[in-house]
Parts: sequence; structure tokens; C-alpha cells
Amino acid sequence: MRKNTNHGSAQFYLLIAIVLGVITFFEFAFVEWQGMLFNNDGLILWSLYILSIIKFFLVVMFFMHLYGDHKLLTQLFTAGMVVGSITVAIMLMLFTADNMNRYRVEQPVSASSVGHGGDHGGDHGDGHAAIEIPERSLAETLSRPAPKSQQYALAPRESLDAGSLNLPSISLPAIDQGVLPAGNSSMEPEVMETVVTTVTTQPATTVITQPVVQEVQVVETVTTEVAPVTPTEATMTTETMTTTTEVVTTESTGDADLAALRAQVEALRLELEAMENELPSEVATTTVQAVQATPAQTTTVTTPVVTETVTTTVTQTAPTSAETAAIATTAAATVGAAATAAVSASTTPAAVSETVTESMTETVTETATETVTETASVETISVSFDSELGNSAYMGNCLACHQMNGEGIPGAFPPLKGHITELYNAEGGRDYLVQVVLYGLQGEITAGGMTYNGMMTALGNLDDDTIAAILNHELTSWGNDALVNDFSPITAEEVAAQRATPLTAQEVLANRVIQ
Amino acid sequence: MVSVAHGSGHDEHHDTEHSEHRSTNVDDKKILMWAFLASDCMFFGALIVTYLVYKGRSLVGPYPIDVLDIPLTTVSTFVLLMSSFLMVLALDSIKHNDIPKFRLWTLGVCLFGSIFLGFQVYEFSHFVDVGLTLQQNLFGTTFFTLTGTHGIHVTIGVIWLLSILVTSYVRPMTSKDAVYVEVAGLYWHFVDIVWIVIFTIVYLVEFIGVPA
Repeated sequence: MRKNTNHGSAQFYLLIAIVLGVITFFEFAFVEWQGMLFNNDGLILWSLYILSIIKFFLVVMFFMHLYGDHKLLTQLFTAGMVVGSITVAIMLMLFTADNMNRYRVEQPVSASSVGHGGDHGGDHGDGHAAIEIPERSLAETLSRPAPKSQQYALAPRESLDAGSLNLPSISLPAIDQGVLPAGNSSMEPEVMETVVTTVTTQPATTVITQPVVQEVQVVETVTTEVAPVTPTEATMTTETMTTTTEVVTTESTGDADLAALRAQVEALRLELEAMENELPSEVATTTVQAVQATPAQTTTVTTPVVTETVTTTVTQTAPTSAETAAIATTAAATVGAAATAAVSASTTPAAVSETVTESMTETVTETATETVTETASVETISVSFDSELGNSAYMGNCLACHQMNGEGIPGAFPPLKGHITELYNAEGGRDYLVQVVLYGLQGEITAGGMTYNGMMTALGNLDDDTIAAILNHELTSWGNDALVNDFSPITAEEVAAQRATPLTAQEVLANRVIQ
Repeated sequence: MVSVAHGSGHDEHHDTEHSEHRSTNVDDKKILMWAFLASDCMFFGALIVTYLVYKGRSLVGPYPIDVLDIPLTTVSTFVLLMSSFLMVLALDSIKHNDIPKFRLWTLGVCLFGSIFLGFQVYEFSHFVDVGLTLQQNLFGTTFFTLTGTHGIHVTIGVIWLLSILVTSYVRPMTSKDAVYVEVAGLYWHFVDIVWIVIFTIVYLVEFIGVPA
């Protein structure tokens, strides 16, 4: 039984409870009817803190009986409170101090202040208007669900689903590995060099997923088997391409009896011809037109492409299924995403012949590559690099900061989309880009109208091929391909050349080709 | 009377009939509970500072101002404060050997605690409905972690007090058992003071400068 305490009675507890209730009401009133009581935010804030502390101590002292109880208990609780409070204070200081401001976006008041060096942390006074935007930490970046762009990237694949194309399903028997011709050394890869990428200016087509490519390969296998390249067959090839996914199952089933395969192929070919009229009229008709317009050229061009792509595909599929040869022929923008070789038919016959001729030259000099883009006004880009390697290396090394959509994180990590092209187009831009990847970059830069003062990690540990592939991937993704002038892929040799003269991240900044 | 080694002034209040022969004259269970509460201070301190550090750093909504409801939370805060009042009455009753009242007040504490939890369940499900989940943004992550941890504390408190209530029917309880109630009560009051802090820091302060 509690004795001798003046707060031992129920009445006293009731008094405390009433005080607590009244304080809570005032807290509510201060916030809910602010402006009627005070018009001073600071005053309200401190009133709330003080009222909260009063409630805290009322409960601790009188409900928890710390007042009047053994002082050992007070010491214990005080120790915990003090350590907890110090922790809170230290954490608040650490995470709201200048080091956090490094990621604060500061917009230059005038162009002259761009490039102004020095520490900008908390520097809100001179020449910079600090803009308080929600700052974003790495933790949030990691905790958020996949950005929309990532979902978008997967969309083309789903759109190629057999169901959505409304095509008959054809399953092919499995091929026994033993039946296959063993050697096919002529088809043996020069993998890395010969993978060919189609680049079009359609944003949708630049989002490429590798699985689509593999699906395409199987279908094209079919065509190669069946068809010598004639104008008619070329048309057919194009048609086949649009059907893609429905034969996807073959890929996973692996190898099949070749004769049975041929029979199925023939059946498929017949079906496709039957379906020709049902296909999107643009594709069907323009292809025919294109082929008819320049029959000779088409034939000449297509042949080397076939050979080259065969090589590529063999390496991408299992080595055992060497018989599987492929050519990916893109007919429409949606399918043009294929990361393997592609020929896109233009809607304008004239443009086709022009670009085909152009591409022929490219094909001879660089390994089979052709791109015919949608309209005559759009420039044609011929690229030859390992886009698969570029894509996967980007995912592994760049994605965390520069994001799936290449837009970076405003205020924290600069964009590649629309920015890397400015660098490329400037004099010495190619070398500079290689240097940035090799040696990193540190210091203040401006990109897309925003100022960044951070540090990019040096990726010199990657090999030359990978670095070149990453840069080529970045230069041809997110619509960048439409912004680069006279693009030719950055080569491993160029990377090796830059490796010869090591730089620091600060020295790279000094070499920056645009301000 | 027990001779108290260091005889501080306060100890006179504790030389009661259930005093034990030890130098501090304080029940071990109480010391243990206070030590636990001291450590829990640090635990909640860490969660509160995490909330504060990430405050205003969410890039996507819903933001606190969009979802927090001051009138609703004021009511639930009041309910929790009153449950603390009932708790202290329950302890007073059992110390006076008034078991029927002890049962009444303890039941009241459990009821009020459950009402508070009901408010929280309603609040959480409403937040999820408007798109605020644990993964949605930094506010969601830190808010649910902090208030969710507090909610778990309340839940444990309700279960604990219910078990004491049940015990009072299973075996006769007297004022000698008051220390069990006192320890549970300490825990309950602590949960209350944590909410006092959360209510101010998370809810009230958010709306300063934002007239209703």
C-alpha cells in the first residue's frame, strides 16, 4: 500500500488525467485552428514541443511514480533517455549537415556562375539560388519499385506474344543433338564483333530486350532453311519476322529432328503465305514495293547479311544447335527492336533504294549492318557493335545511378539521355567519353540545365570491349541515336588508346568538351 | 523495518509490508522493467530519428500532409492517455485489495488500448487505400516502421494486461501481487509516453503553417 504520498489518491490521478486531456485538446487546437490563436509558426512549434514534454513528464512522474520512487529507477531511466537523446541529436546533425547538401540542387543565377568551383554545401548566399526539392537518397532509390521505364522496356516483348498477334500456334518436334551436323565451323562465331544492331529513331524500338531477339532467331532459322534469296522469298522473310514469338517454344525445346523440322518449316511457310493478306498492310505492301523497286540491289545486299547473321545467332543459341541459323529481318518499328541484324523496309521505295545502297557500302567495310529507317527525312545510322554486351554491362555498372531510362536522378546523378550526345558531338567528345568511363569524373558539371557536383566511379577495371560497348549502348539508347551526328561505334582500340595515359577524375573534368 | 544501507529519503516510502531484504529495497521486477524501458527509449529514439532524417525526402506521394488526420489521431491519443489513467487506477485498486475495481479498471485499459489499436488499423488501411505502403516512399517506410512498432508494443501491452486479468479469476490476487500489475503498468505508461512524442513529432508538427 502506498503511503505518505500526496498523489496517491484517485482524485490526484484524475487531476493529472484531466490536465493531460486538456493539453491534448490545446495541441489539437493550436494546429487545427492556427491563425486564430497564434499567427506565428515558430511559436506554435515550440508550444507543441513544450506541451508534449509536459505530458511526457506528467505521465512519467505521477502515473509511473518515478517521483517518489527509488532514485535508482530514475537513474536507470534517465540514462536510457540521455543516451537515446544524444543518439537522436547526433543522427540529426549528421544527416542534416552540409554533407547532405551536396546533393541539393542549386540552380545558377546566371550562366557565369556555372563552373564556379568550391564547396557548395549549405552555400546559399552567393550567386546561387538554392532550390529545395525533395532530396533523394540511395536508400530510396533502392527501395522503390521498378521505375516505369523498366516496365515499359518489357512491353515490346509482351506485345509480341503469339496470342496478341493472333497467329496459329505451331510446335516443332525436338531435335536430337546427334542428328545435327557436327561441325559447322564455317558458322563458328566471331561473336563479339559481328553482332549487329539495328538502330532506328523510334524510341520504342530502342528499348531492346534480348529475349525478343532469341525468339526471332528461331523463326528466321526456318526461313534460311527454306529459302534462297529471291525477291519473293525476301518478302516472305519479312512476313515471317512479324510473326516471331509464336515459335518461341522451339528455342527451349532445343534440338529436333531435322527432317521433321523442315517439314514443319514448309508448313509454316505455307501458312504464312496464306496469312500474308491479314498482316498489317503497310508491312506487306511496302516490302513488296521495296523489293520490286530495286530487285537487284536487294538480292545482293541480303545475301551477305544472311551469312553474317548466321554467325551471330549460332553463338547466341546453344553451341550444339549449330544448324540453327538465323536472320532477323525487321519489318516494322515494333519488331525493329531486335538486337541482331536487321533490315527494315521503308515506306518510301526511293528511300529504300537510297539507304540500301548506302548500307551496302557499310556492309562491305564493317560487318553486315543495315538500317533503313522509317522515312526519308530521318537519317540512317549504321552501327556495328555488341549491343547485348553493352546492355548487360550498362545494367551491371551504370543503372544504379543513371537509371533504366538514362535520365539519371535530377540533382544527384546527371542524365545520359540527351546529354551524352552533346558530349559526343563536341570536338574531342569521343575521347572524353572514354576517359569518363575509364577514370571517372569529379567536380561540378552542368547537364540538362542542372548543376551536379558529385563523383562518378572509374570503371577502368572493365575491359576495352565492354567499355566501348557500354558507350555505344548509351549513345544509341533512349532516343540518343537521333541526336548524335555521324555516329560510328566507339571501338575497343579507342579505349585502349585512352588507357595509355592515365588520368585522375579531376583531370577528366578539365578535359570536359562542353561547359 | 528493514535497515537500509544507504538510507535515502525516498526509501521511507518503500519500507512497506512486502519489503525484501536487499539494499535497494526495490523489487527486481521493477528494476528490470525500468532497465528495459531505458533501452526501449534508445530503440524508439532510433526509429524517431530515422523518421526525422528522411522527413521531406520522399519523391513521390502520398506525402504526410495528404494522409495524416489530426482530429482522428487526437481522439486516439486521448483514448490512450485515458487508458493510462485507468491503468493507474487499477494499480491503486489492487494495492488497496479492491479486486473488483482492479478488474474493472484493467478491463478498461484493455478496452481503451484496443480502441487505440482499432484507430491505428483503420488509419493504416486507409493509408494503403490511398497508395501509401511500406514501399511507396520514404515517408511510408519510416512512418509505418515507427508507428507499427509502437502498435506492436500496444498489442503486447493489451495481451499482457488481459493475461493478468485472467489470472485474477484463476487464483485469488491480493495487494501482494500488486508488483505484477505495477510492472505491466510501467510498460503501459511507457507506450503512452512514446505516443505522446510520436503524436507531436509525426502528426502535429507536420501541419504547422498549413491551416486546416
